[in-house]
Amino acid sequence: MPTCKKCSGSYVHGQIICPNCAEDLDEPLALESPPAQLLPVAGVYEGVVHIGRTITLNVIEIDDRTFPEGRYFAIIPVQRLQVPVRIGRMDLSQFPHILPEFNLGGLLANLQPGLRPVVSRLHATLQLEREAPVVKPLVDHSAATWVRHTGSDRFSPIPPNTLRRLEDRDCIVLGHPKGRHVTLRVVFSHP
Amino acid sequence: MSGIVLFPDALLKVAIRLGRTHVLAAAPTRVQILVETRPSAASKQMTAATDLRFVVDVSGSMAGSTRPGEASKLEVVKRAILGLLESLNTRDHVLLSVFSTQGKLIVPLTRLVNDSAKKRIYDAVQELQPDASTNISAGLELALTPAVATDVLPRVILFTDGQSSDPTTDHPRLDQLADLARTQLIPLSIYGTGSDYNWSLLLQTAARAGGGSFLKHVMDVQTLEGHMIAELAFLRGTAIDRFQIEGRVASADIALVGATALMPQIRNLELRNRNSFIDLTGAVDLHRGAQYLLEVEVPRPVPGETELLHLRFRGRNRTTGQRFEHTAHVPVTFVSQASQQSPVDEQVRKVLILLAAAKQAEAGVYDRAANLYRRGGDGATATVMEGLHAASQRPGADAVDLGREATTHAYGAATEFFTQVHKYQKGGS
Repeated sequence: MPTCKKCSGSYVHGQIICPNCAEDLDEPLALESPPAQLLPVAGVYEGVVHIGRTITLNVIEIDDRTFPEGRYFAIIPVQRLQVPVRIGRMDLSQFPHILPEFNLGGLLANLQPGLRPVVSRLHATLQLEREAPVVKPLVDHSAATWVRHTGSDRFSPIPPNTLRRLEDRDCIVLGHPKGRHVTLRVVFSHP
Repeated sequence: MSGIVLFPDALLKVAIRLGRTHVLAAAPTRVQILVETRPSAASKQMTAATDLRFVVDVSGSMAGSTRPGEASKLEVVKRAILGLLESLNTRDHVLLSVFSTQGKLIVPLTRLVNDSAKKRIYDAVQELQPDASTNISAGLELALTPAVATDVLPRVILFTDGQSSDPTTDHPRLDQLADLARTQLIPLSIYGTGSDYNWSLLLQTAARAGGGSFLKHVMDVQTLEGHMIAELAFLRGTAIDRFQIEGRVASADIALVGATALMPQIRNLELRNRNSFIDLTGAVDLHRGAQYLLEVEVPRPVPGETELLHLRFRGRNRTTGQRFEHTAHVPVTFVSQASQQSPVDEQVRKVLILLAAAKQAEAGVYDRAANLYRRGGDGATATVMEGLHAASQRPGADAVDLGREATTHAYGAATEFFTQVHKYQKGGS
């Protein structure tokens, strides 16, 4: 879906003003929205129809830039989380190489060239705990991974190596919500 | 397709404007359709006689004022009725009923044949005093009882500030009376004041009565009197009655995603299975006409001309009784390149901005609403919104009262807007 240049809200082709912010949408540039980008996750194969529930991780914020759901996203079958999926930034400069299963390094380098990446090389993991998806910070200081539960406007930090259960439409913040950060919105498929 | 469609018997003029006549084919694509109907020149007749039935709440709370130090609510209503009486002539009819614990018919339906008839009503209005509790249906029933003569335009004008004292009997009875008003073709103009009355009940009553019924919140005598006199002018200009519009998508894969009536209040019409709608507008006057904004979604458009909608208009010339029924087909042309798109119709854009502004006003974001009204070319409503924004910043502001004022003003602003547009179009032609 195309998005409004002013508020990044999505709209349907042919609409004349933005349904979210009432901005005019008829400039030619507004019609050209960047294509959606599916981000790879190790062990998840593109083009394969997933059986059972899935989790979509939408990148909705990088620092002060916002993105609509479906612009930059990864789809992970819930069953895949039986083996933890590490979120981080690939680093081939060291040996052994650091290879997180969900690599945000390429996206950050594209969108913020020259800026120090806010996401650590091994920042957090997504995994299953008693059949429920959870997030676990890997960075060993206490304000590097936060969660905002759906319906709440409060961010709470997750202490390192503790598990925090995720619900549909919760947001995971990598970094600090009031400083530099990447926000991922978790969307569960319906059974 | 964007222009005037004049039907063979020339009673009704219909302008259909597309948001764009040539639209880029993307999957899916939305197309906006603005339908403006007005009685044609041939329908113009002498000023119609009116039958105005006032129903006044005289419960104890009407002795209070909306703001400290100002006249009581009952005084505001009395002054506004007296102001309106000045504008009536010898062909008009008036009825006055009141309600508190019981309903009471103060003046039966009376033709204002001479000054003494007018004075009798004038005196009766001045003598109204606040009394006990609130039984809205008792007053409304008395006003709906007399039959409507064939050569007049009826309207019930109801004023209230309160909740029903006995909702278990009053609310269902109001539903029945709204249905009666609908079948007798007597629209309701409901004016509420203060922040205590049952907003949603009265809104529902107006919607149920149909035929151009509305609920308007008023804060002072100038607003009330000004609005009533404007409505009288529109009522006198009624050229078509029993008007209804029906729309249906031209093929099964096209979805109707929005249908909004813009007169006399903005209201969303119920969509049937996302493929059709029907609206009984009732009276269509020469000043405002009737306008609808429709939006359809085409899931997989193919370049070339595609028929989107079939519209059917039915109604009756109020003076001659001649009935009409017309259909119109609405096509659009899909193109394969963005550069082949036609420019956006400015009138459609203005209506969309007006609707966005109304949403902001309803949400209480008055400064943003003001900006949008200004952008849409409606400076008068923008000024009202700026005033409401300033009022909302003052300590002790009554948010409910301001919100109701903003909502009814915003949703009735289309009336002002289209009146201005038509005046402008007339001046330009």
